[in-house]
Formats: sequence, structure tokens, C-alpha cells
Amino acid sequence: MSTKTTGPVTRPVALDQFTPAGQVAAFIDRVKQGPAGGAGSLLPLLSERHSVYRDRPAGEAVRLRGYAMAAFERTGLPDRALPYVLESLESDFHPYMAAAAARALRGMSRPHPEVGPYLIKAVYNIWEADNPVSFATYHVQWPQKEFSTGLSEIFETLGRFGGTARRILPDLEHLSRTFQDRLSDTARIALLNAIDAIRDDTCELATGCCELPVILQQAGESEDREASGRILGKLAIQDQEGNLQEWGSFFRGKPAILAFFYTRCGNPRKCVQTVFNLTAVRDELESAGLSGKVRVAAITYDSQFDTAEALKSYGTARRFRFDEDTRMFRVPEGFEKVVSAFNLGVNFIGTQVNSHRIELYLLDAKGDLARSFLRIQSDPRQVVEAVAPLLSSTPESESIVKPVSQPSLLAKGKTRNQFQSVSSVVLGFLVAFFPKCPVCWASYMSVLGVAGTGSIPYSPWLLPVIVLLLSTNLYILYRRAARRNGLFPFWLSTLGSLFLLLSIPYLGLPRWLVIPGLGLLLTGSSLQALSFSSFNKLKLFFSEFRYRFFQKVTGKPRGLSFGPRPSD
Amino acid sequence: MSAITLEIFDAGGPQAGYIGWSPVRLKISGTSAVGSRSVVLKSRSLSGSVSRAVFIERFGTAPQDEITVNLGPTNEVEIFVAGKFQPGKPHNGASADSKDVVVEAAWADQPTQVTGSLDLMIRVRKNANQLSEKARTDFLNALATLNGIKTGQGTTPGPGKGVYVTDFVGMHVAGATGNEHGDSMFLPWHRLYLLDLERLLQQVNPAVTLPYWRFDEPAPNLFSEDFIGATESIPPNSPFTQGVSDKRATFAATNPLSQWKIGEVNGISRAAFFDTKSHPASGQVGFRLINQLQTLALGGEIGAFGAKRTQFSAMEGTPHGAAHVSFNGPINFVPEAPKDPLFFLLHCNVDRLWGLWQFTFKRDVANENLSYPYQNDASTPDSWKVIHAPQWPWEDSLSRPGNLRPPGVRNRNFTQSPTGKTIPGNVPVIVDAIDANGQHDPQNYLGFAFDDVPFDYDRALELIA
Amino acid sequence: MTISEYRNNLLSEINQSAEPLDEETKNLLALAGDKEGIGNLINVINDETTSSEEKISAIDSLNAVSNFSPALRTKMPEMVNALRGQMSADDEAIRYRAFATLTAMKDEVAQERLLSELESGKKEQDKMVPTSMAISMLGTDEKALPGALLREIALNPPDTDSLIEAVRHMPGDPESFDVLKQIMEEDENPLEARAMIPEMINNVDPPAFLSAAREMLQSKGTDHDLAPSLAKGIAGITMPEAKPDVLETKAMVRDLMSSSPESFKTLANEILFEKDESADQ
Repeated sequence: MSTKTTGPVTRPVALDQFTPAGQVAAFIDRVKQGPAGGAGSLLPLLSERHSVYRDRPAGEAVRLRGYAMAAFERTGLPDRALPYVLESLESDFHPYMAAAAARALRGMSRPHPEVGPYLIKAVYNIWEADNPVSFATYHVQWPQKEFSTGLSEIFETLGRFGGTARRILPDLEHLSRTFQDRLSDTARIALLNAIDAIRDDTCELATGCCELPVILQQAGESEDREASGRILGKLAIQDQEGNLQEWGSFFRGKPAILAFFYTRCGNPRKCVQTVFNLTAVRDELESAGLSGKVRVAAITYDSQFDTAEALKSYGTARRFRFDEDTRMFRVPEGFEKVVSAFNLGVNFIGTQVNSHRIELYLLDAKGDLARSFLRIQSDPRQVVEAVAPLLSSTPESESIVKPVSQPSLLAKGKTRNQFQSVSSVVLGFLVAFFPKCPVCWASYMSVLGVAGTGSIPYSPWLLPVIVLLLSTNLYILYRRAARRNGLFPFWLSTLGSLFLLLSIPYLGLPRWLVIPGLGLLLTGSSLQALSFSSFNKLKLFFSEFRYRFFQKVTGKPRGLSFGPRPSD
Repeated sequence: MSAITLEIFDAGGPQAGYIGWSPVRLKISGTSAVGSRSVVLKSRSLSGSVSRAVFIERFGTAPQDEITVNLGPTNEVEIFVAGKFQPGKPHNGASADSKDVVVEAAWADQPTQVTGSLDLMIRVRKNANQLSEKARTDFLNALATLNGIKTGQGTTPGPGKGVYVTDFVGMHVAGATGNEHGDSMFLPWHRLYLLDLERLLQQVNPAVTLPYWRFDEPAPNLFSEDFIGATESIPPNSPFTQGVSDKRATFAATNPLSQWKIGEVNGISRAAFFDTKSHPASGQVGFRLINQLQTLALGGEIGAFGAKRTQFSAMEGTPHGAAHVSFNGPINFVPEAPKDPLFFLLHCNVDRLWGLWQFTFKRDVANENLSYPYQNDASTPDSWKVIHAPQWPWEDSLSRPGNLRPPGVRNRNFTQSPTGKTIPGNVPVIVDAIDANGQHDPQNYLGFAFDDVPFDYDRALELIA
Repeated sequence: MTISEYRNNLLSEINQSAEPLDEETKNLLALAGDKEGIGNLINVINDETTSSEEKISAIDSLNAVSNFSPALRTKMPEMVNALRGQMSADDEAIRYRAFATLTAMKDEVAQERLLSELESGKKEQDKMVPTSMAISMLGTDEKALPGALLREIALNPPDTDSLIEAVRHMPGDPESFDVLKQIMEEDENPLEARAMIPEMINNVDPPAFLSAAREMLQSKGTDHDLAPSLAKGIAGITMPEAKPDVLETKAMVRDLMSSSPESFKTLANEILFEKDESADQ
């Protein structure tokens, strides 16, 4: 269901595979032109799983999805849409989609420097087959007297980003210097304009700004999903040698790295690269001494076409070294159960795939989903690092290369994770309540005096201890940021630590600084301890709150910083 | 009499005993009971064959029909052996379709008593219109096998699912056009592309080579139901439809190409703007196909591929481009062309023309601009065109920022063969394709030859001197 | 003849040959590197006042150089824009060329337009492009043709070529099985379409296919035109659970071998029977 707004009343409009393309486009047009709240209506259309794409020819699915994506320029681009947009830039070869994604980025309330490299990747994807594009309407009258192209839309967006895109200025200058002759006039002019705009914009990037507002690959635990091991345990799967077995017999007993692909995928940045990456993952596992401890598997979306022999031929040609723990599979019957269990990002026209996302999953030894890497190709080393906790009980500071032979590896891995989660919170509390001044000391002593334990004089040597505790706490938060909940908790705690240090009496600053200091420190530690799903729920809550608040105060929908294009 | 052992390349294996015109190492070993260490070698054609071998004592010396060598104190010696180029004979003396030459060795003091022998095939790429029935059948079966079609016992991926489709069609796509066309790397890149496929064909059947379609001559045997498909002719003024045709090549039921598929699509759509039974390829109105002599007459310099096509570079336009657009169907459009297997026979002839040009004008010197113009990074802004540049798609699956190449499908997987140069790391570079015959160094020999492009012994001697 | 003599003969022949390139061909080769020239041709296509012949010549020239022209790639958006404009041209020769070039590039706009034509129910003579040609054009992209549409056309084709093209592009999947089997079994359908079908459906429902194959071989014999395709279909079955059924069918074929033509015997021996069980015929 998507929401249509006509004034203050919203009426649901069902969009599905039977909805004519013109009608879907008309809905998108209404959202574009309608009052606030449109972005939320468009968001579901970004998912390739949406029923509107079922049984549609791939070209039509691309155009509809692109048309919806481009509309975010008008409605504003919510953070949740960003992974879809960046995925299109990184791995889509359709100029229409690249243009749509470039337009969508103009709907960001504030341009972000991290998206520049994705725009550059899109240039390299489409430059040899650039096409004219138009988003004025869905059905366009051709020929157009003036038009933009996939490349020119990308360069236009970079130009509008101005100084925020300074990081990729060398890439643009390289294009201008060496490959200008390969571009159409429209694209070349847009490239030169973008370079000028970036050079002329002298705005300074905020320091420490460079984290995207969403975690692209959902690098935490999967939320609200039934354990795949239990549902799929009896499902029959066939490997590349033609051997039939139950899902559970391969995907239980050892952790597994599982990716989805199909041999007819024409997109080299998706399935071809996915299979190559799995080969690289296998090599990394070997280097890490984890051969035989982790299973690696690729499952085809296209079991009807991809026979066992076809999988074998395809894998062999890509040096996918098959062995007992490294296989390709097809699901002869019941693939819809796999789709459902993993919530796979794929859609079909008949039995044939018409669109899909990049997806790689980590399963624990019980066969349950532990982690997912979606939409953006993952680095093989990052994948191997992520699988290690499913095996190893060694503390974080030790190398993962150490082979582990103890029996209950999974239990130890879990224990280590829990310990790390708790430690940062405990440390936060310890620091928070550590006496930082004679008055605090006197307070504790009076409590202790009530308890009958006497009095111990305060000493300034405690100051370096405070600094040490604060530093240790911050170090742990920083190290864990990549794995859990990003740098935001670290920054909160840093600010809190600063307040605490400033509140020390020897500096002569107001004592009340200790209160926000304590609050920020404890909040930072607690946020890091939250699970990924809880953290994101909280984040989403505040994001929506901020959105509605802004809307109420200003009367404008969010994200109209760049305004509509003059030509639309 | 104790036996004499003769070994070419690796001693055994199914690919042993296949040579071309280029000298390859032949190890002769044995211990004579009576102490003589001299061995006499000669070759003999099997019945019905004219093929012979020649022997070369040292690289750069003249070939001999018969040779006497001394095994020395180690009881072994290495010399070279090659096919004997015999202009005017069928295939200029190459084997028709199987091993039909025997090298015989005898101790010098008993020259009539053969105590060692080696069966050889002088295996070269031949004119498709002149193939024997066996050569044609072998080629079609091997090609069909790579498509995934079952041609004998054993399992296959299924029609349209084999490595020909997943890899070789996937290499010649729109996104890679800039890597493969429009400049001097066009010829070496396609030579490597063909070789990669041919070596895979030879893993199916080592007697197989890629035949060439002599597009400047009528080829009625090629365009038949028993070979690449009977192809309907359409009037020259019919609409030129890029990449498609509403007509299809037809095949005999016993022809394995009758099951040709690319993915789920059956058959090969193709219609010709010329009469395939009686005429050469026509090109298009205003874009005529030039013949072999006219192609070689373009000149002895490679020329420029830029705004003005000059000298030999013009051959990418005609005859190559003109041959492609002599049809409607996938064959006439770069990103679709390999879907029609005729593509490889067309390009085999393009490669032969390059080989013939290299032979005629002595353009096999890798570090000469006349042989290949981009000798260093300063010569072109496009790094992948420089002579030592690793070639897409074998060089990497990932497009490195700034090099404009999309990811490929045969990452570090160029087919190796014991009958030709081993490509380091399975990643070929342009220079590998320049001295394909091994004129300068037998190690450069790639393991293929054409029936009408000989190895030049005089030149080898010249180069050594 | 020595190798040097061979070379000298070749050089002599080269020197005697005519001037290799005529003016027209030289102009076309020059066009490959001429951005301005290519731009002019695109303008001819867009210009409403130019004649059909001029437009056709412009499109053909651009197509001829497209395989090797770096300059054309810089004008690709303009060319696509111009060709999209010609999808509705009155002259069918222009329309065919425009659609063919665009669909060969997997242009989504052209694909949508052609599909809407196929689904429109218009009379064949009123369609922008004949059905068989439209299927062939869309078929350059495997994901552009819905199986349901192909089945509909195959069951009710406007002409023979349309039936053949529909079958050619139809996915061999459970949804298409019944339609394909029906076409295979009906003698009045063109052999070219029927001959493709055994290998499209043999692994979708092996028992049903084998039953149909047995029935056809027994009733029509192995000298029937479809017999070799049926044999290939039987040989291509890979599903292990179908093995007993396959063996039964092979046994039936063996019984028929004595009355089979040589070509069928050769084929059957090559692909159906193991070496040690080759029928001695």
C-alpha cells in the first residue's frame, strides 16, 4: 500500500503488478506535487520486492523505480532511502537509474561528502552508453529539443554540492584532463561547470563530519526475523555436483557465509562480482586459518534455469574452488520459502529474475541469521572479520588469526560480545561516579561515615586516574564504533568527558558542568551497549520527531534546500 | 635395439603431438646397446596425407626433411620440429583433421630399423569452406559442447548455459566496446579472445582449431545446414536492422548447432544481404568489403585510428566492419555479435589477415612502433592500450577507479595449453599477441597457426644474427 | 618454393592490386572519427523537412560505423534522442531501423513502446512493427518479454514467423510447459518451432515429456521429422528421479531402431546409448 495525499485526508492507493505503468507514474506525480509527507509514500517503491514490479519486464521496472527515485528531489530524501540511492549509483548500468539517483541526492537536506565517490562510480558505469533522460513526465514526447543525460545529471548534482564535493574534485579533474573527448557535449559542459562550482565554493567541511546518516550495509544483527535455520531445515537443496541434501545438513554445525546470485545476471557489479568476492572470502578464510571452520555458499535465485551442471560450469570458470565446505546450490522446489525466510531483495517476471539487490548473509552454527551485508558489495576482509565472532571466544584485542579448538565456540563468542557490551557501560558508570573533587570526596566520605567506615583524605593524585579512566572508556567506544552503532556514542561520551574535566575545581569553572558531563558520558556508553535494532529504532524515532518538528515550525517539507529545477 | 623416445612439450597427455608451422622443442633420448649415440630422424605421411615434418637443429637454422643428431654423453638431445609448409598442397601441407604424420627415429648405424616414433598432427586454422567432414564435425561438436549442448556421453550444463554463453558472450558487450575497438588494441585483443576460446575447444578435442571464414570469397560449404547454417538472402535494399533479423539460420537435425541457445533464446537469427551460396560478403551500400589483397595493400604501417583512418588501421572498418554488416542479426552489432558463432569464424579471418600482414611486412617486432604504436605510457592516455598492459577481462574483475573499464567475467582465467606459450598469471598482455608465431623466440609461440601464414626461417636466422 | 619466394609472390600480387578504398568507403571510415559529421547526420534524422531516403541513409551510415567509431559514442545521447523520435515515423523502413537500433541497445523507452504494441490487440497491419519482428527485437534482452505474452501469441499467432519467434523466446518453465507441449504435438505447426521444444521442456516435467515423446515415436516412427529432436530431448534429461522413465523410453527407442533411418541410428547411438549398449543395427 502507498499513501496518497489530497489535502489533509490521505487515502490508500493499492499499487501492484496489475497497475498500469501510467497509473503508477500518475501516483508518483501526485506525490511530487502534493503536500508534505510524500517521501514516506515513495519509500516502498524503492524496494525491488514491491509487488508493483512483479511480472513487469525489467525495462519497465527500471523506469518506474527510477521515476519514483527521482521524485525525492522534490519531496526530500529521507535517510532510509539513501542506501537504495547509493546502491543504484554503485551497481546500476542504466543511465536512467543513475540520473534518478543523482536527482534524489539533491533532496538531501544537507549534501554529504560521503556520497561523492558513489557518483563518480556511476560515471564509470554509464559513460559508454549514456542516454538522454527526462523526469518531467513518465511518458515523454521524443525527440526533445533539450535534454539532460545520465552523466550530466550526475555532474549537475556534484556541482550543486559545491564545496561538500571537494573530496572528489581530483577525480573530476582527472576526467576533464584525460577523458573529456569521450563525453557528449552535454556531459562535458556539465562536468566543467561542476568543477568550477566546487572550486568556487569555499565552504569548510565540518570536522569529524564524515559518517553517513545511515549504516549502509546493516552491519548489525538482523531484527525481527524468524530464524532461518528452523524454517528451512528440511528444505531440499542441490549442489553443483547434483547431490541433494537438506538445508540444515549444510547450514548447521558451522557458521556459514551465504550469498545469492544467478548465472544470467547481466550486471557485472552485482552477481559476477559477488561470486568473485566469495572466492576472495574463501582465500581470506584460508589466510586466517579458518578453512574448514566456516562454510561458503552461493545460492541461485534462478533454480529453474540454473541446473547443477550450469552452476558447476559457471563456478569453475570463475575459479570458485569447490569443496565440501564451498558450494553452489539451487533449490529445486520451494524457493519462495528462502525468499521469505531471508526477506530476499528479488523480484521476478514469471520464473525469471527481473531485479535484485546484492545480498550476503552470515549464519551462525545453528543456521540462524547473524548478520547481513546488503546493497553495497562488501569487502571480503570485513566479511571474514564479521564471521570470526561466530567462532572465536578470544578477547577483542587478540588477533583473529589464532586457530580455536575449544568445543563450545559459539557460546564463547557470545560471552565475549556480552562482556564487551557491559564493560563500556560499567566503565562509564565508574568514571561518572569517580570522585573528581574534594567536595565529591567529602560527599562519599559522609556516606561512608554514615555507614561507619570512617574518612579518607582527598588527594590530587586521583586526577590522573580520572583522566586514565576517561581515556580508556573513550578508546573502547571508538574501537567498537565500526561494529556497533557508529561513532555517535563516542562523540557523546567525548563531550561528556570534556565537561567532566572542565568541572574539576582547580580550573575555576562552574561546578554545574559536571551534570551534563555525567549525563552525556552515561548516555554515550548506554547507546553503544544497545543492540543494533534498538539503536536504529531510537534513531528513527528521533529522526521522525525532528522531521515533524521542523515541518511544524517552518511549514515546509524537509529537503527543499535546492529547490525545484527551473525547467520542470 | 633399445628404444628411442621422442617427446614434444609435456611427454604425455591428450594434447601431446599437436604442432603448427613454428619450431617447437623435440627431446630425443635413448641408450644404444652398441654404443652409437647418433639418431636419424625423418617423417612419413600416413596414407592419403601429404603432411610432413621438418627438423631444425638449432633455432634460427634452416629446416631439414631428415636429420642426424648425436645424443651425447647424457643420452638425450633437444632439437626442434615443425610442420613442413608446402605451398600448393591441400592446406599447404597441414593435417586435414587428425594425426597423419609420423616422426620416425632410428639409430644411425641401423637407419632402416625404426625404434622410436611419434604421431603428430600439423594442426592449423583452416579455411572453413575447405574443411573435411571430420574436421567440421569435430569443430561443431566441440563448439556445441562449450555452449552446453550434449554431443556424446557425459553431462553438460544444458544448451545455452555453457561457458561460451556465460563467458565469451559476456566479454564482448556494450560496456567494454572502448577496450576492444576503435584503436590499435583491436587486433591483439581479438587475437587473445579467439585463442582463449580455441584452447577451450582443444580441451574438448585437441584436434580442433577455429576455422576462418574467407569473407572475400564465396563459402557455400560454410553457409549450409551441415555447418554454420543455411542463411536466407534478402535484397540489398532491405532495412538494415541492427542486432536483429526476423529470419533464422537453419540446420540439419544431425547438426549440433540445431540446438544452439543463448540463455533461453533458441536458434540463431541471421539473414544475408548477399547470396551466401555464390557470392562473397557484400558489406553495405556505400561501405564495401575489400578483398585480401586490397586489405594488405592498405600498407605496411599500422597507421592511426583517430579522425582519419590510414593504412592498415582502416581494416577495422573494412573488411572487418563491412563483413559484420553484411547481415541482419546479432552478428552486425558489437554487443550482440558473439551470440552468433559465425562471429568467431569472421574474426578468425581478421586475425589471419593481420598474421599475413605481419608476415608480409615483418611486423612482429614487439618493441617497434611499426608493429604496435603504443610502446609506453607517454604514447597514449589510455593505459590499457600500452603494449605491456594486462588485458581486460582477464586482468581483474573490478574496475579500478580512473581506468574506465567495467568488471569482466574471465578474471585471471585465460585458458592455458601445453601446446603454446603459458600466459603468466592467466592474464595476457598485448605483447603476447605480437610475436604469435615465435619468430623471435620459440617461447613466444602461442600454439596456433594459419594454413597460409608460414613460419619464416630466413627471418628467424636474420633475427638471431 | 621457399618462404621468401612465397612472400615475394604475395608482395608482387599486392603491388598489382587496385586502389583499395573507393571514395564512398573512405568517406564512411572518415565519418567514424568525425564528431561534426555524425552530428550532421543526427540533425538529418531530426529534421522534419528531410526526405525518408535521406533519413534512412543517415541511420544506415551511423549504424555502419557504430561498431568502431569512438566519435559516435560521444554523440550517443543525441542519436538515441533522434531515434526515439522516429519510432512513430510514417515510413516503416525508418520505424524498423529506429526500433531495431534502440532495442539492440536495450533502450527501455523503445522496449515499452513495442510491448504496448504487442499487447494492444491491434490488427497486424496496423502495428508499428510486425509481431515477429517485434519479438525478435525485444528478444535481444531476455528480460524484456513476459512469458505470458509469448504464450498468448504462440496460441494465437498472426502468422507462422510470429509463432516461431514466440516459441524461440519462450522460457522453458512450468508455466509454459502445456503450451509448448501442445505445439510440439500438433503436426500442422511449423517444424522449425516444434523442433526446439523437446529440449525446452524435457527437464521441466520429464514424465509428461517422455510420455508424449514415446507416443509420437511409436505412432509416427523414427523417420518422422521431429524424431531427432525428440531423441535429443530424451538424451538431455538430467533429473535423477526421471531415470527409470528415461530407461524405459530408451528401451522403446532401441526396439524401433531396426526400422530407423541411418541418420537417426547414428544420432541415437551417439547420445542415447552408452558405448557398450550401442544398438547393433
